[in-house]
Amino acid sequence: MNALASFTPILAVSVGSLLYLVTGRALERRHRAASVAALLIAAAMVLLCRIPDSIGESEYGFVVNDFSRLFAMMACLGALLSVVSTAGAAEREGIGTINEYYFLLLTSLAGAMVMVFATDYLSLFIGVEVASLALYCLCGSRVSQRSGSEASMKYFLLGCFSSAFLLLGIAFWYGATGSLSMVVQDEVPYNTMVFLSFLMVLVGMAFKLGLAPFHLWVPDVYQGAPTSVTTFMSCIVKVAAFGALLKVLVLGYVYPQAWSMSSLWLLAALAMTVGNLAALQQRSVKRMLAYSSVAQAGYILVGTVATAYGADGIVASLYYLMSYCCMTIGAFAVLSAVGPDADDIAGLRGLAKRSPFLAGCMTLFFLGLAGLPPGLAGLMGKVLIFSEALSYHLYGLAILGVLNSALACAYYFRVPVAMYFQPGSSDEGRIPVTIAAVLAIGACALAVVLFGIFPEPLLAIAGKAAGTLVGR
Amino acid sequence: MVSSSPPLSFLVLLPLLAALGCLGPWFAKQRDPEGRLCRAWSLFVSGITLALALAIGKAGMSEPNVLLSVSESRAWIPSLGIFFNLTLDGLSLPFVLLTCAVSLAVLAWSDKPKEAGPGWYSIILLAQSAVTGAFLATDLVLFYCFYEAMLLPVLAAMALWGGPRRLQAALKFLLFTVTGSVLMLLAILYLGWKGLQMLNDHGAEVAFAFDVTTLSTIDMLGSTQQLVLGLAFLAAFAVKTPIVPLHGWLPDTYREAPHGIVAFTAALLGKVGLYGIIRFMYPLFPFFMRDAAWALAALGAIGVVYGAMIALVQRDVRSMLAYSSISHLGFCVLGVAAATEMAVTGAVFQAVSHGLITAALFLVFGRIIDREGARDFDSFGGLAASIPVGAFFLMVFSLAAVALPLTSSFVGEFLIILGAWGEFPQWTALALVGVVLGAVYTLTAYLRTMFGPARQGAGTHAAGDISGPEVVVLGALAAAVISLGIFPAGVLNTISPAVEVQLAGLTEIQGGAARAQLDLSKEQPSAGQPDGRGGAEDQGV
Repeated sequence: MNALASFTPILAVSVGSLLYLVTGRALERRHRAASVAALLIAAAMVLLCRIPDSIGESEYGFVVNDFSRLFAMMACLGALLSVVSTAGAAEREGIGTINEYYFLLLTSLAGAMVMVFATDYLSLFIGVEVASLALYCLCGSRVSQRSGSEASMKYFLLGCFSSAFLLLGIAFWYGATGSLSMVVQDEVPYNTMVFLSFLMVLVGMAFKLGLAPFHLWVPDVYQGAPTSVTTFMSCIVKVAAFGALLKVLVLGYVYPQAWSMSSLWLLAALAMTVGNLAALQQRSVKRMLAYSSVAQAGYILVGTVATAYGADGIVASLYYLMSYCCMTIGAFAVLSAVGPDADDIAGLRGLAKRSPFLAGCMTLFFLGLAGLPPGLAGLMGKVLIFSEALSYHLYGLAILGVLNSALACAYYFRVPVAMYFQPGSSDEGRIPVTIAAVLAIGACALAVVLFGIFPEPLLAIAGKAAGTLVGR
Repeated sequence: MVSSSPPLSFLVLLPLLAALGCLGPWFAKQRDPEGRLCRAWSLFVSGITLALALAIGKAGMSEPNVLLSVSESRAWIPSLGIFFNLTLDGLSLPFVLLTCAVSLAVLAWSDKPKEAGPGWYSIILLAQSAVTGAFLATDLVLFYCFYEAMLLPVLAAMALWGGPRRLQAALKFLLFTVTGSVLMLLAILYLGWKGLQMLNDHGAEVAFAFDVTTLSTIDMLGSTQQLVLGLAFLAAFAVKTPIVPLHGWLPDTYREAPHGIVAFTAALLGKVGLYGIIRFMYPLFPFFMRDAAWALAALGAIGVVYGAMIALVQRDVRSMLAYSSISHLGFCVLGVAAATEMAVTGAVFQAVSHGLITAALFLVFGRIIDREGARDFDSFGGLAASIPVGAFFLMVFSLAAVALPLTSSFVGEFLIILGAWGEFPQWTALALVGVVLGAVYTLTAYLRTMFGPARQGAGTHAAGDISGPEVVVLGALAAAVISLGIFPAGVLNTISPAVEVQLAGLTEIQGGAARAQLDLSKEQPSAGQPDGRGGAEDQGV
């Protein structure tokens, strides 16, 4: 019974999503579809709080503890915020099939939750595939647009490629340990097999996280997908993949070796540098944010490299991940609210006149991403991450990181500059913003400020989660 | 430490909340297009803040003119040792008062960009809040937050209401300062981590791991670490001050930003850099400051002469003022580098005096530029007849800028020269050349603007002579400059004990080194060699 109980949040979302397939057109009227999705996600969140911790290791390869609960909660919150903030946007963006859109979105969320609950490679792989397959379809949900189909195809091909890597890594792991469980039972000898397994799994996860040099899909997909889909995936993919990666690293490859640390080091360094340098060149806001997400994933990884999977570094990474999700959801939600012509940076010109609220929130999100006050969540995130890096003597990574964040200011500031200081090309009227979007974007904006002013509660939650993961 | 009755955080929060209050009418522009309500409101709050700062300072005086440190501490992220720690002592009080006074002056000055509206006042108040915070914070992370926060209002004002090349100038300003300050951030994090470790080892219950006072008392850094961390801090402060090779952002910023913002920036932002060197670098990195003093002094003196020489040949009024700022701040840097109590006290005094004078000069010249519709000296001339009151005040502040006796900058420069001469006679002598040049370009500027044949520029003559509230503003600034020049003792007596505290670490190692050398020369002549070699390197590098 206990085991079944731990599935209820996932069931709420996945079974609930079937509703969209059987109700026909009844849900398609006036935000009804979005409201149902929001309700289902909220129900999953309530269930998440209520399910008990699993005792020992579950035979289903599912473990409920503070760590997986936090990540599932983050995924649900991210999905809720993006669904609420983009309610009605799907119709505007020309996604004809609203029912399928929300079905896929909820399925993807269910897959993400499976990923963060799994302690078994088989469950993990199923989660990855469910989440990814739904996302591939979502990216191409604007059938009439070629860029969307191209993005979908690219994402699908590269995603399959990365899944193959992941599978190969799992196979090597099975070969080395004779078990599919991530949790090592006995002392695992460090041999070539484990090494290969580590590399393959890391490559697979780096694809999903969009860490350079495995980031080639990121800009095309972020740009080609409808903005409401990008809003959703920008947070949920990072959360699920990062949760899975942490678990694999901490539970499976228990003893950090020089080579495993240096490959993570290299990934973090490359992601920060490549992401920021590429973002400098972009004219499209969505592509710029895509490359910035590559760089931000690099910062998040720094915390993990820093403590050799220790709890402190994971806390820093978690805090950064939480604040990053608020900023990226907010930024994409604003883009989605502005409308389909907001892709080019010129489309945002004069936004301050057309909607002071959206422009103000967008500025806050970009300041947060750049790590400048009053976007204090981003600033505190950087403080935490780099102080962890320094305390573990990763001076090179820390210096590279701060130089990168100075460089990043150059492109993060372009958007506020366009919104406030460049006159709009066409004198359009005010932008209508739905109340739901105002609430969701406002919540993100508040979080970006308040997370920085009162970080202690968040740090306590993250500390508890990290402690559960590390304290074997 | 004495806890004060009105908390120090009010000095930061009052302008901040008032600024947010101003934002409301900004959105409802049609109600209050000129921002009269905002103006009255922000003047009121700014005035109260000034009064509050004075009151706290007064309450903190134990005996005449000796200020105890008034401090306030709240938990922010105690698990990491980050606290909301503010301190007002003899070093920060003059700077805080300067901030309040200059903000009030800029707010009261009625010239503002035409299209600005009520937003102008909230931006000035935000900047005031951040700068005050930076002058008060002793927790390094808190200081860093304020240090970054002060950038944004200035950038926003520049990009919203600046000159034709404002965006490039703003970007340049941003990149220069942020690059410097992220390096400082790394150094801060390293210090905090080290401090937290040490404090935990000693079983401290409340670990002010990022507090400069705590960090300077635990002796934890070797000289190599001090060198690296000191350079990182210096990168931030040298850009902000600016110290000469890193001044690239300054002329562009001063040319493009609106007059009021330039007055604010010139008077206050650079002072944060100087203040940071005294407040943070001397206690934290005494070895570095001892070894790098000659380089700082050289850069300061070179800045004096370089700034003055470039200012001499400028045709644009605001470029001239920008380079003259570099020149005057070079003097302060020389004083700070000399590290004698007298020189550093002089530097603080001179920094405050320069803040008052330069704010006034930028405001008056800003009015003239608006009036004539031109900004280079060639299009001015014979203005003394048409704006007699402006001419009078410009004369007062120009003479103050060239350090005429009885003005405040005379006292400051005199103390710096006196205090630095013993340490770096060659650089002080070089700086004296700059003083002469300073007199030349300042007085020439006055001559070319006020006398000679009147030119009919393309100006609209929309702005008239100085009158009304401007006379009050300039009168108050002039009164401050002159009274500080005639009666400097009270202020100096407040500053110098605090400076002595800041320099204590350096004095200790200098005394210690002297003692050690003495001992070594007596007993172990062979072991004394490394010291001697180190000294030679210091001279030679």
